[in-house]
Amino acid sequence: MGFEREINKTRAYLCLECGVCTGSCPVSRFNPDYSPRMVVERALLLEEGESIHDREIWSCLTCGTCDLRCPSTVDFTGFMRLLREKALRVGEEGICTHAETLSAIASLQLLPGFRRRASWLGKGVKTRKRGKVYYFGGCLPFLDVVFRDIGFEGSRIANASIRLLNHLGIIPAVSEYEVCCGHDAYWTGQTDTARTFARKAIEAVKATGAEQVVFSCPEGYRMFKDVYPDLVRKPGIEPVHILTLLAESSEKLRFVPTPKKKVTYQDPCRLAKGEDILDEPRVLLEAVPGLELVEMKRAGKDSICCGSSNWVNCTRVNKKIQVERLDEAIATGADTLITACPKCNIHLRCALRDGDTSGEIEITDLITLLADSLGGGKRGT
Amino acid sequence: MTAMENATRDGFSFDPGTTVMPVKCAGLVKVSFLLKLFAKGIEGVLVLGCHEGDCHYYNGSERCGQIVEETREILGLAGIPARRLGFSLIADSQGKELKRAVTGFGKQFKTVSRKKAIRRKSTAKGPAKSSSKKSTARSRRGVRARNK
Repeated sequence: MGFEREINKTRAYLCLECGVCTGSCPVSRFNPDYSPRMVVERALLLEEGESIHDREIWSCLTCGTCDLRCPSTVDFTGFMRLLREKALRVGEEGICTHAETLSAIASLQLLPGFRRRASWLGKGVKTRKRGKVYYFGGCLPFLDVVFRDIGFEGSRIANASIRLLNHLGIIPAVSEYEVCCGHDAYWTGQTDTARTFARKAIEAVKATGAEQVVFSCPEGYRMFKDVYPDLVRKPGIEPVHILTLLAESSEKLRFVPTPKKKVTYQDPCRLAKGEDILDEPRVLLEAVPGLELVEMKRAGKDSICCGSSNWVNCTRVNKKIQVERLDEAIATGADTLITACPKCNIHLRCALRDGDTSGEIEITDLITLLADSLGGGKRGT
Repeated sequence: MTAMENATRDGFSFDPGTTVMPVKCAGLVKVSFLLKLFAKGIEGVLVLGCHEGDCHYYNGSERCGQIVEETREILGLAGIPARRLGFSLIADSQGKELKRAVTGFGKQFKTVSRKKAIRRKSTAKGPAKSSSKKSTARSRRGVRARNK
């Protein structure tokens, strides 16, 4: 017994033990006990039991920096995920953040006959029950309730996305049977739960007759695009991220000039490292008159994760990663830090509130900013 | 707990579908804790705490009120009627008040209980159906109802 399956699946046998992964890992910078290289080495050399009970396997942010830089193309995040899957089977689990509220919300969505309320939909937005294009809001309205204390507005992001789609002449379908995309369950090793979510989510989308699903959340997009084909046979839905859609038809968008502002952009791991959506947000930001984009020292594919993921293991190491990232943003001299992922927004806001940073910076969501800069003129149709 | 003792001394007995879960302070109840009970298929949860200003830990009842409100909001978004999560403030000596609160809260689940009673009879003959019909659930200071 050992890790043969995991090693073969993720090509971990190719590991050269060069240490590039550990050098790139944002967690290893602050937590010397954690090293991706050592995790693989331990798994290759030691018996199964010793590796699985290691608390550090829950520290990985699954940001994918090591995957990108590994000269042997080892799928390290995949390896970590399979390790967690195995650890769950022997009763180990990560320490859930926010007293497990987020995982409780997810499990609520697995109740038979679950039907969410569309009370988050704003007044001015147009949606329909059936249509070719579907808008997947995911957990945004729920996050709204949990993170109100740090000023996070999830349903505003969802409404802004629909407003932007309306502006392009698209009236998206939304469904009350939509469930969580299963991202957190998948990356914490609960593959079966993630598969259940995948089936339910696909069923809900297909029931509206949609062929294309638009996402404002990078995690949902990544799940539909890369993970669902592995979990479910033939999902049969074309996922598209709203930023790609907007960048493609940027000539249709007419932004009104905003007060002069210096902004910097935090690349979400799921978009920048996973899906290569790097230029789209920058093109859109430059299209808004009055905004000046300044890049952080580490931007694009080299950008640093917001410090916490999957709602597990948020320790002082994670806080340090967040503070470092915020300091980097403040050092650019920008007034506003723009994020495209609700989780980056939440985590950085939380770290900013703690006041350990070198200064102050405003945190705004990209989609909300774009929707707010739209001219009040006629709609795209 | 004293309120419950007072109530039971006066002859009050809980519905058989109810489980009582004592906690040290109502302020210790967490959103996730309440949500998980609903995720298990429990019909209703009644949270009972001390009166505001009467808290041994200074603001437990206020904190609990906020938590219940937050949970109700999440339940509302998830399509679960907020009335299934009850919240009452009762002092130690108010046995009668506790009886009133529990009975009042339990009323909304009456039909479910009866159905369950019928199902129980029928299961004696045939195989048991899936556990989609859960029992009446009420709870107190701390909370929670069993599903059987």
